[in-house]
Amino acid sequence: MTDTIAVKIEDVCKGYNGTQVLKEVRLQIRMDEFYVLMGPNGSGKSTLLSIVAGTNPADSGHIEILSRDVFRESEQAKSCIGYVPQENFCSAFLTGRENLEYFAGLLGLNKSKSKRRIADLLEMMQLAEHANRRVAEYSGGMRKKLEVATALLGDVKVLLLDEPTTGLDPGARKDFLNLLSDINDQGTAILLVTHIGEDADAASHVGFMVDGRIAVEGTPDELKAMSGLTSTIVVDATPRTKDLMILLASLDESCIVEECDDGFRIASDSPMKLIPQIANALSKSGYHMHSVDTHPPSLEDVFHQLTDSSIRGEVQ
Amino acid sequence: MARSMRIFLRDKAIVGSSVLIPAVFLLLLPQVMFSDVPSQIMPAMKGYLVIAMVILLIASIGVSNLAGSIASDRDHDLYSKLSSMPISPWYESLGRVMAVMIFSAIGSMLLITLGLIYGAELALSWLDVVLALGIGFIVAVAAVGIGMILACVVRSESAAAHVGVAIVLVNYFIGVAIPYGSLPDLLKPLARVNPISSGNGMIATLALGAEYIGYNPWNVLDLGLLVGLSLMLFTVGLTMYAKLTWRR
Repeated sequence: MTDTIAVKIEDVCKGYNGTQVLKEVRLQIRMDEFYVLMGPNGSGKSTLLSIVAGTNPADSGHIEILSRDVFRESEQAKSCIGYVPQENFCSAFLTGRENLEYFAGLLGLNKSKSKRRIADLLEMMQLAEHANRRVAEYSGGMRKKLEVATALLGDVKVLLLDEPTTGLDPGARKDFLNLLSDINDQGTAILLVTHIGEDADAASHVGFMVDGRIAVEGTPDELKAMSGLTSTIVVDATPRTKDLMILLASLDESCIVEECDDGFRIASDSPMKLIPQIANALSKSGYHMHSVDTHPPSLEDVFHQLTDSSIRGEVQ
Repeated sequence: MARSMRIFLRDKAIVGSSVLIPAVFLLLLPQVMFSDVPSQIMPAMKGYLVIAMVILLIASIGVSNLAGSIASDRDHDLYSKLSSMPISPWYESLGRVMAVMIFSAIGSMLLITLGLIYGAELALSWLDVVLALGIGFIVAVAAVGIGMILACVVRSESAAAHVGVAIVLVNYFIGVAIPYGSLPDLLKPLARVNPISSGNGMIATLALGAEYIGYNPWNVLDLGLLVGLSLMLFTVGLTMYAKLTWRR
C-alpha cells in the first residue's frame, strides 16, 4: 500500500493571459508520503494544487489520483481527495458541528454514519468541546482544524492543503503540523503547499517550486545534504542597520544573510571559519556584538541555497 | 438547505433588511403617509401595504440577500472546496432555493400576522388564498433567478448585496409602492411585465379588487408573462450559477 502512487502529475502546463504559470510540472507522491511543496508567492504552487483538486483545468498534461484520471474520471478521483483551500470557507454563522453536517449532507452520508464520523473527527481535531460554538468564535488554528475535518469526511486517501498555516502563531502552527503528521501516519497521503519554511520540517518529502517548475525535491535530509549548508549563524549585534547586513554579507560571497527576530541569520557552508571573521569585522567597524549562535540549517535556508543554485544551473 | 436557512436566520443584516424593514414600514407608513385617508378605507390601504411588504420581503431575500450570501461564499473559497467534491452544483443549489422559499414563507406569515393585528383588511376566499400563495411562490422563483444572475455578474459580497438592494428598490417603487394606476404611462408596461410588480398586482387584485391597482392582471397574457418570465429568470439564474459560480 505504501508503494502505491497516490498522486501522479505528468507534464502539467497552465497559463493565464499569456503568462505561463506552470511549465511541464512532474511529480509523484506515494501513499505514505507527507509532501510539502515550497515556493515563493506566484511560483505556481496553489495553481498546481487547484488542478490536482480538480477545481481548475490544466492546459495540458496528465494527473492521476490513485490511478484515476482527474479530468476523465473526475467523480472517482474526487471521491478520494480532501481539499482545503486557502481561505476560511466554513461559515462563521454556523457551529463547527453544523459546518461538518453540511458537508456530510452534500456527500450523501447517511445520518447515523455521518453522526459517528463527525464525532470521531471532532475528537481527532481536538474540537469536540467546541463543536457547538459558532465558528466566528474559533481561533485561526481551530478553523483550520475544522476545515481539515471537512476534508476528511468522505473516504479520503489524499489530503491537499493550500497554505494552511498562514496566519497561525508558532504554537498553533506546530500543533497543526503534528496533527497532519498523525493523519499521514494513519495512511493518508498529504500534499501541502506553503511559502513558510517551518511547514516543511514536518514533511517526509519536500519539493521546491520556482517559476512554475519543481526545481529540486527529496527528503529534508537529502536536500540539506544537497545544499552543502552545515549550519546557520545567528548574530545579535547593535546598531541593527542595513550597513551591518551589508558588512556581514561581504564577509563571504557565497553566504545568504537575512534579518530575523534575533538579529541576522547567515546561511553558510563553513560557519566555524566565518564566526571569527564576524567577530573581528564587527569589532573593527564599531558594532556591539551581543551573541553569536549556530543552528542546524532550516529548510528555508536550504530552499534559498538550492533554488539559487538551481537557477544558476548548478543542481541537476 | 439547513446551512443557508441558518445563515439567513442568524445574520442580523439579512433579518434586518428583509423582515424588520418591511415590518417597520408596515407600522410607520399608515401614520406618516396615510394620515389624511378616511378611516373607512384605512383597513384596505393597510391590506395593500401588507401585500406590498410581503413582496418587498420576498424580493429582498431572493435578490439581494441570496446574491450577497453566494458572493460571500465565493469570497471565502467555498466554491473551490465544493468543486473539489464529488457533488453536483444543481444538488447544492437546491438548498439555497429551498432556503429562500422557506424564509420567505416564514417572513410573510409574520408580516401578514402583524398587518392583521394592526387592522389590515384582506378579503380573501380560500381559493384566493391558494392563488395568492401560488403567485407569491412564482415571485420568489423570479427573485431567486435575479439573485443568482446578480451573484454571477457582480463578484464581491458587498457589491452584490448593494446592487441587489438597488434592484429591489427600483422594482418596489415601480408597481408595488406606487400601484399601476398611479404610475406614469412610460412605466406602466414595465410594471405589467416585471414579475415582482405584476405578482404584487395580482395578489392585490384578489384582496382588494382590480379598481384598486388600476387594471385587472388576471388574464391569460399577464399570467402567462408572469409565469414564463419567472421560469426563464429562474432557469437562466440556476444555469449561470451552476456554470459560472462553480468555475474558478
